[in-house]
Amino acid sequence: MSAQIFPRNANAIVWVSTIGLVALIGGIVAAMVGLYLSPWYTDVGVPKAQPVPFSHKHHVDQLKIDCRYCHATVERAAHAGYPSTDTCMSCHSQVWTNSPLLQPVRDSYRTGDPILWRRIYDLPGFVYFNHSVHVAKGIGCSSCHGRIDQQHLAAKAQPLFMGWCLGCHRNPEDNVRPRDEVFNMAFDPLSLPLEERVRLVEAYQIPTDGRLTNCYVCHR
Amino acid sequence: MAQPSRMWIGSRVARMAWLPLCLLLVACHVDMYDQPRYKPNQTSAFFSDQRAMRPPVENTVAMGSFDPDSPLLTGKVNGELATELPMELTAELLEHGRTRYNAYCAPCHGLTGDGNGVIAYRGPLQVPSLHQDRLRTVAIGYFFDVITNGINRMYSYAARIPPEDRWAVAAYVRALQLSQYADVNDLTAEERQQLGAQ
Amino acid sequence: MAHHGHEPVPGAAAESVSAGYELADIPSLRPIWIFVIGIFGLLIFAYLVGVVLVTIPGTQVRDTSQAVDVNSPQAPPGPRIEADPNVDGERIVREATERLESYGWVNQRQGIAHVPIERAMQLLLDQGVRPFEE
Ligand code: HEC
Ligand code: HEC
Ligand code: HEC
Ligand code: HEC
Ligand code: HEC
Ligand code: HEC
Repeated sequence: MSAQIFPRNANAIVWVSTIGLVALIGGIVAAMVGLYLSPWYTDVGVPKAQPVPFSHKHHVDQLKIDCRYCHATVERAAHAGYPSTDTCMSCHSQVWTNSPLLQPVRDSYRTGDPILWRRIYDLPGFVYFNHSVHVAKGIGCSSCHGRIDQQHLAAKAQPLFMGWCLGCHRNPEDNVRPRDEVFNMAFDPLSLPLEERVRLVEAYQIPTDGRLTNCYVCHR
Repeated sequence: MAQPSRMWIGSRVARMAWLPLCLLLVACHVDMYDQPRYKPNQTSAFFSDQRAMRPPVENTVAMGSFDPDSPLLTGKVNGELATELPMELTAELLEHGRTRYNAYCAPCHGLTGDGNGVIAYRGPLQVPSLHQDRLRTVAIGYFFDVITNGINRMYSYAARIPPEDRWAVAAYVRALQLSQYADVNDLTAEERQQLGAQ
Repeated sequence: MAHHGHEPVPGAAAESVSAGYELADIPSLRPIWIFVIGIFGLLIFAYLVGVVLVTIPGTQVRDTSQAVDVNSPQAPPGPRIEADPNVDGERIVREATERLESYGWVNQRQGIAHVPIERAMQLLLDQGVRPFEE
């Protein structure tokens, strides 16, 4: 007769290692989900260094410049675009002409080479997005970009997950505002009563029949 | 060896052990995220100025953007500054002009056009008032011309404001001037009373 | 500890030796339960510590105005001209708006008044955009 194969504590080892394995896999999954949602992956709230430390708080909140002064195409085109050097120079040819912070702007104006802003909001190549339709239908900048007028260096307010786009496309009445408040960063759509917002959705003819959540709206 | 069938199942399960490794592949597809095409405002390693959006060759004229005989595009009729709008003057046009003016002009000229916008107030930038006799008596085409071509220290806004909108702004500037220079005789009796009370 | 299956472990029960494997289970499941509860307790504790750390005021990642101010050597300098630029900007906009919404005399002797912009737009619709007469 052969001797015993398993030691006395074999059963305990099986128990412990099974539980350990479950905990390990669960932990890894939880950690991955956590990382996926965290600013480490999404960059939410993480400002990027820019060639010029441009401050929205300074220019928008304190100097009261309208978004369109710099992002002029936002009402007309898919892209809001970045201001040309000429736009900065319309003021900075006379304001802070000696500031070292503005040297790259002056260099760009002289040489004609663009200022290379580092993009903050960046959708994947397989997603189609269009600013003009949102602006025309009474969706304010702050619904998507947060209070950028309170940020010194711009940072994401949104990870831009698909579920977030869909959330609003399903319930536009939670985010719609009168057209003349679109550029008002301090305006809160929820300060309007629900009936008023539903009325706006109708007035702007925003489809509520689920058409807006069709895949081809964004993946075309 | 003693139980060949159990061994067989065990080894079959063991051979599946590579499956969890597939998890590692999940994060590795970026080809559809960063497709080999340029998006607006992207940088390019190919062109020496790093612009992916290529500026048109110098002296390019876009279709429909040039017509020396068109008052809409030049602000002039037969070489003279236009005194009328090239479109109908409507309440919507003025309302549209108001939003444009408040976005593009008010930082310097002020919401009222008195030259005390927030920028002007803060800095070395001296901005003239739009409520001068000279500007009140000038043809409307002059405002179009200033917006299109700039004047002295004021830059051109042609790149940001399309021609139709420039006319809307010009018309709104006139409304601003009128709001600060209204003839009492044009007002209603009620309004005159309100003024008299002051 | 290397274990050689061929040598019976000293103290092994005779039945187990004859059966070829250990027949007795461990005397009690208690240590295992303590271990399991302990591990999950630790997980929950670590989670709570994380929640506390994240919610302490001032450590929120979303609050970028602070993050930049404190950490970034690139933060733009504050306005240098006025004590409180916000108040000034707001005052300028408010005063201009008030002016654009009110009636008042500009020159009473010549009968020139300022009127609300809405009214001026109405008047302009009647009189057109031609230059003002002297
Ligand atoms: C004086 C010019 C100016 C004004 C006014 C302005 N911006 Fe910007 N904006 C910029 C510049 C320059 C950048 C690029 C640098 C950066 O990202 O900070 C930018 C970047 C942005 C970005 C990030 C773009 C990206 O890279 O993904 C958003 C969003 C934005 N602006 C929204 C707004 C909104 C909303 C307003 C109005 C409340 C506004 N901006 C007003 C100049 C301006
Ligand atoms: C419905 C959500 C939404 C609204 C409303 C919105 N944006 Fe955006 N914005 C985005 C998204 C998404 C991107 C990224 C686009 C991309 O990667 O192609 C973006 C990008 C930008 C950029 C970077 C340059 C560009 O054009 O891609 C600027 C600047 C910007 N937005 C300004 C604005 C301003 C100003 C407003 C208000 C008038 C505004 N946005 C309203 C979602 C929005
Ligand atoms: C805050 C609300 C809101 C958010 C967030 C939002 N949208 Fe929209 N979107 C709208 C509304 C409202 C419309 C207007 C629909 C209409 O009237 O046709 C619209 C329309 C569109 C359209 C045009 C639909 C058409 O008629 O062809 C596209 C494309 C689109 N959205 C893409 C996106 C993408 C991509 C995102 C996420 C990055 C997004 N949207 C996030 C509210 C939103
Ligand atoms: C309102 C816009 C919108 C609609 C409608 C929409 N999507 Fe998306 N989708 C997005 C955005 C934005 C992303 C990118 C999310 C990200 O980067 O995390 C995305 C990402 C995806 C991805 C992930 C691709 C990857 O490799 O990560 C899949 C798959 C997808 N969408 C499928 C669909 C399907 C199927 C539908 C229809 C039921 C649909 N989408 C409808 C906006 C939309
Ligand atoms: C960056 C500040 C700034 C902005 C924005 C601006 N201007 Fe000016 N504007 C000036 C300055 C400075 C002058 C004085 C130019 C000079 O004669 O040196 C001026 C002069 C003028 C004049 C008077 C020209 C004359 O004959 O005296 C008119 C009319 C005018 N601007 C209209 C506009 C309109 C309309 C807009 C909006 C589209 C606008 N400006 C936007 C700074 C600005
Ligand atoms: C409408 C006028 C205007 C425009 C357009 C404008 N700025 Fe400014 N900017 C100002 C004023 C005024 C200040 C100074 C405010 C103060 O401190 O009182 C300023 C300050 C700054 C400063 C801080 C300078 C210092 O040394 O303190 C930077 C950097 C700057 N701007 C960058 C930019 C860039 C980049 C652009 C183009 C995207 C731009 N600005 C467009 C008016 C403008």
